[in-house]
Amino acid sequence: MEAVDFERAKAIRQRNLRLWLAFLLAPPALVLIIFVFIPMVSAVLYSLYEWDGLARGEFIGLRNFYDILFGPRLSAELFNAFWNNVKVFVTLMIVQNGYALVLAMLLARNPRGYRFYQVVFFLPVILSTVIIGFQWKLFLNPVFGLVNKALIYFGLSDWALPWLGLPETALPAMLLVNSWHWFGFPTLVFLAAIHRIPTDFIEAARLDGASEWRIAREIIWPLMAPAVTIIVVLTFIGSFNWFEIPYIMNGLEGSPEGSTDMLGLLFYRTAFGSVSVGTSDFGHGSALAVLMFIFIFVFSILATKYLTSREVEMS
Amino acid sequence: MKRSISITAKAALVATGLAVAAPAAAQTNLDFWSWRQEDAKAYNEIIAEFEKTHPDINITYTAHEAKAYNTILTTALAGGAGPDIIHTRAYGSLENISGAGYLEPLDGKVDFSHIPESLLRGTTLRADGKVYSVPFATQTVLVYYNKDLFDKAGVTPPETWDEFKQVTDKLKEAGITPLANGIADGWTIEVASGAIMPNFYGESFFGDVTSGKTTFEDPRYVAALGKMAELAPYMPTGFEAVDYATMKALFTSGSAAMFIGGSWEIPAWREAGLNFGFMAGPAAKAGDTRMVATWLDGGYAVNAASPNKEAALEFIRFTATPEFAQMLADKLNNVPAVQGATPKDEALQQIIKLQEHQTPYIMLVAFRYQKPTGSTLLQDGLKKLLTGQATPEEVAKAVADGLASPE
Repeated sequence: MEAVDFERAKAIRQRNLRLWLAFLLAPPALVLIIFVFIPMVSAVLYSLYEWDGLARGEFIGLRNFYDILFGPRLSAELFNAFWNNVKVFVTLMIVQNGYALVLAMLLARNPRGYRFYQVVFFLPVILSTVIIGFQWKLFLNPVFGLVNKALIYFGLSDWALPWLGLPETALPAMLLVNSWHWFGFPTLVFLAAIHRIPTDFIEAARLDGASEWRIAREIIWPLMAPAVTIIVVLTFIGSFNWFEIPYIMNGLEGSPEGSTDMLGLLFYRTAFGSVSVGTSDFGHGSALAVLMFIFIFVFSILATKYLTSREVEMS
Repeated sequence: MKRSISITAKAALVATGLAVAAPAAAQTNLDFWSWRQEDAKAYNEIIAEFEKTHPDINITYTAHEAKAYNTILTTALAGGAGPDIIHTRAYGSLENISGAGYLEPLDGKVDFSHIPESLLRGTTLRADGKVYSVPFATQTVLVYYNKDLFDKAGVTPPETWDEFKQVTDKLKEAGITPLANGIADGWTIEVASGAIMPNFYGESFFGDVTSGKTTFEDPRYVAALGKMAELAPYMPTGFEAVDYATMKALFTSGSAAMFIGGSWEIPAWREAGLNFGFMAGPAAKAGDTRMVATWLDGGYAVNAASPNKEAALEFIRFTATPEFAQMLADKLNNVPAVQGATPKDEALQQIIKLQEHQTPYIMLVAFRYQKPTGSTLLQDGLKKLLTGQATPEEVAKAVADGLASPE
């Protein structure tokens, strides 16, 4: 009898656990279905129809995708925007994450004021992107901006350019702003990864007379690979979804001359239109969103796989 | 539904002789959406006037952020929601929603006798020829000037293009930026073209290009583009990155002497305490009439899916009356589309006088129905033109080609 009761109690406990889990999981699952899966599926459906303003027209299969990839105007805009996103990714990897890596290596040596620097570096991350975009737009203003005023003050008036108005400088300026905004985040992640490496590894290498550079390259770098994986993938996703800073600082058209156009801006412009850009076009817009999703999804997975495979186990 | 119930209820009360003691009848609540946040106070006053004569209707005015308005509205409508009364844009933007069947056709339901035909065209769906929105106000492109700065440089408002260039040169010599305009926000340069170009391409060009008799590669249009290119040296240093906010700051702070912009700017100049005047763009040569570019800013429409259509229509009918036009002019300083009002404001009177020689603001009025829009093409072209990266001929060709091959 006792054994049976025990079994029953176990079964009840398990059933209760399942109910409890279902109760806990149902709300997030519902939210996920309503706000993630349904919009995703409807975007795919939208992309297969012809749209006249807000009215859904005929089913046209993959025609919208064809227009985007091969149509004369849209494809030119698409590849321009895509190329800009590539530039963003490469630049952020080098400037933002490279800088963060150097800072993390330095901070890992516990310099004086280590805590202070850690907080200061992380401060811009917690500011809102809207505030940062707007504030830097003011700093870079050609007439009243702090940057040009300072350049003129120091006798560098030739350098006082309309930074956000020239096709050569607009994107680099925005990338610096983005790096300024975010560098604290990879710094912190890298720093945490370095702290995870057992100190005896490094001390042993030092005793063997290895140079600091060699320690950094052959011990710290391989052992912080998991952190690098995370940062690379997040930077990749962030770069190809980049929207806020370009939108706030240079508007929906990716001006000047499309030099700051991004896939996100192109999508928004195509799908929803704007006052002077034109009317909304859900068909091409949705098709573009689907393509963006597939690209980012597939490459993120490939990148994660590749990067994880080169991570070494610490034992 | 609610309204018909309240009517029945009233009838029942009257029938039983209890009307005198009747409590306030059940109200119909209407939502009214707009993009004009700065006008909220005035609209609430106008609505209050309307509600005085319609005690059973209660209208709530909600203004959304202007840039996001189209997105918010179209998303709501596509989801089967949205307000009862909709402040719409005109031309292509309106077709976007009227073409999809989200708006109630107004023909036969509203008296349009006070509205000129040319403005009604801006709210008519080309496909079925029906009017979907009551035109509310027109905008006019003006050249504003700072009277104090003109005095300081010893110049008077120019009449012709040659005089305009002399004035700008003199201002420059006096160390004053002649023109506040920049090109960072594409639409502001298109607006500027509305003041300069019509006086060079002439009155007949609009009809010719819209009827297909000519294209934008017409020599008249190319010549007009050439004049736009001449503006660059008079713009602020770094004009490539001067956006709308900076333009306004330059003009209101008295750093720049002229500002080419829309008639909606007047309240902002007044608020800044500026001693300003305005005029039409300069004439090509002495003796030519000076034309101003105008367009219909939008209208008021009824959501076809509204449960309170009849009450909403009642308000829409009110917006087509001279009485409403008078309020629009006096409270909002708009040039009403509905005729028959006599604005008290002097500036408004002057604009109405300038409008005697008007020409449609070309891209918005006729070439924003397809993608790419004429505005997108022209804005791109003007930016390249002013930064010396394209010739007037190249810009004209890009505009003509772009319009000839819609996506």
